[in-house]
Amino acid sequence: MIQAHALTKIYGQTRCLEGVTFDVPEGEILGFLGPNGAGKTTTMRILTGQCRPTQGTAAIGGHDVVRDSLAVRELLGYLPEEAPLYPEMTVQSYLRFMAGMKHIPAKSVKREVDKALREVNLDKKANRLIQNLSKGQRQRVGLAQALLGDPKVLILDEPTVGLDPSQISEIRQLIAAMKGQRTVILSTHILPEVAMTCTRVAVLDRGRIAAQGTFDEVAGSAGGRTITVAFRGSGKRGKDVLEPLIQNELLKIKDSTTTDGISHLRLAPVEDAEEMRPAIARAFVEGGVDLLELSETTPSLEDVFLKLTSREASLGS
Amino acid sequence: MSLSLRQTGLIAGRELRSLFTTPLYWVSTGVFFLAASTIFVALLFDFARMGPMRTAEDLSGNITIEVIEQLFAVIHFFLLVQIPLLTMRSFAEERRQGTLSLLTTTPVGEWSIVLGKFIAYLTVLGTYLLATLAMPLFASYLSDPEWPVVISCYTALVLAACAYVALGLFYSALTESQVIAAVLTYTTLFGLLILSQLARSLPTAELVRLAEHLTLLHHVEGFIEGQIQSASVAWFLLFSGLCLFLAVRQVESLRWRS
Repeated sequence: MIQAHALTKIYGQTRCLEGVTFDVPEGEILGFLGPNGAGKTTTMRILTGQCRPTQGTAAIGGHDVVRDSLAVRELLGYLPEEAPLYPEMTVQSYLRFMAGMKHIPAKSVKREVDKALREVNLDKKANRLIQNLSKGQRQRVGLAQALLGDPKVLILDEPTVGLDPSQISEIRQLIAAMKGQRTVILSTHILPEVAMTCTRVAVLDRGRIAAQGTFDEVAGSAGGRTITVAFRGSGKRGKDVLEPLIQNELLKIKDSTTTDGISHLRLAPVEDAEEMRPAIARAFVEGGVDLLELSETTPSLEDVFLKLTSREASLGS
Repeated sequence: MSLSLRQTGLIAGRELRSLFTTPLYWVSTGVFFLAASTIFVALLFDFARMGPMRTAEDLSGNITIEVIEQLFAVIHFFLLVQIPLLTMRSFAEERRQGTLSLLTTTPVGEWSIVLGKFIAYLTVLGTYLLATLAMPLFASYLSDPEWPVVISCYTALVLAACAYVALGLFYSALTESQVIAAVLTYTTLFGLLILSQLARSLPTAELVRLAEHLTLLHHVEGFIEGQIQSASVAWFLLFSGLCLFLAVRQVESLRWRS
């Protein structure tokens, strides 16, 4: 549904995006992650037709975002990072106005506005002036605007900023429920939000895609799961007993520490980690080394994010 | 070119509502009517003082020249002062608030946006002009003004309002600063007025005529004297069309220039 190919955006001397390529199939929810200044908002602005890429192409629903911008905008619902609103309007009149801008037929406007208000839990504030709403309520008005007319594609930039915990939970449930019905790109700094709502992840760093795919695929590209072993003796002793596995390229040693005669090795299995654990245990027993602990850890999204973005930073420098 | 009448109407309605919430609108409207009425009453007093010395035929010609034409010249000047104050916020405020870039992510065409705002400001000025109709009507109680001249004066004001609003919209689309938008509009309008005066000092009659056709005052004066000339109508319409076209191109370029 959404394809971006080799998107590059240069502002003056600054390259904000560099060959960004990704694809969001229909019905998927893509979490767009990246530190500040990574190029997330620029990518979203290109997709929503607010700026033109210096190089590369992007298409939504088969329509090029530059050449066929009007057709793309017919498919889109967009919530920018700070929802731009007309403060002098009431919530309802603002949404009615935006419904008209989105070509929603006049006879359906009331129904669509009421539905959007219910979805963001603002139906009781419909007649309030926007200038009198709290930041969180304004953010929900912006989200209601994006939801108007059931757009096939939703692009949401930080949709839960400024909301209280119960509102955040409601909005996350709302977005997660869109899976299979709408194609969504969700940009956020809140990593658990991605884990809760998204089916795919793209990590953007310094204008480049550092990793993308399902969460497992991204975790794999960041180093995947880790097996930790603790044993008596020096780290070298442990490396010796694991040498056959390392030589057969089944394992890699990430790092080794020794404290008070007890060593810890962190191992990266090349193949399936669960199948490697018995082989590692056997190697220690056969080598006559006292094995104290053998555990497997899955990296958290935070670990993956930090690893990918810091790796890109070190490659960049 | 994409133009939807429904979207144009909605944008015009929203712009009007937004304008009515600004203190500047109410203050400038109040000043406009207060100043216009004061000047009208002063012109009437002047006219009435000379009344007993005139024949009935003189009276009709003189109320047109001494009251109606003078009044419309003043109202035209007020429009020159007021329109930049009203139009300066049209795009500049939306650019500052970010609402213009949100609008450009919806399937609304640039012509709908620009024409919607154009219609909104013309509606406001139309109500001003409609209200000023009370003045020639009142004058007709005292004497019998030449109504073709009154119609010609209103034609001038409507055409001038179209041109000045279109210019104001274009400059407002150029910048996020309302002040800069107003200054640019004033500079252009008063520049055209000054050029009208300078044109009269050119050495040959042909050059004077050519220069006058390119400037503003010549066309307005013609209308106010009761001469509806097709060249002047065309000048105002072309000027308005050009400014609206430039405003549309500017809104389009805002989308792609960022």
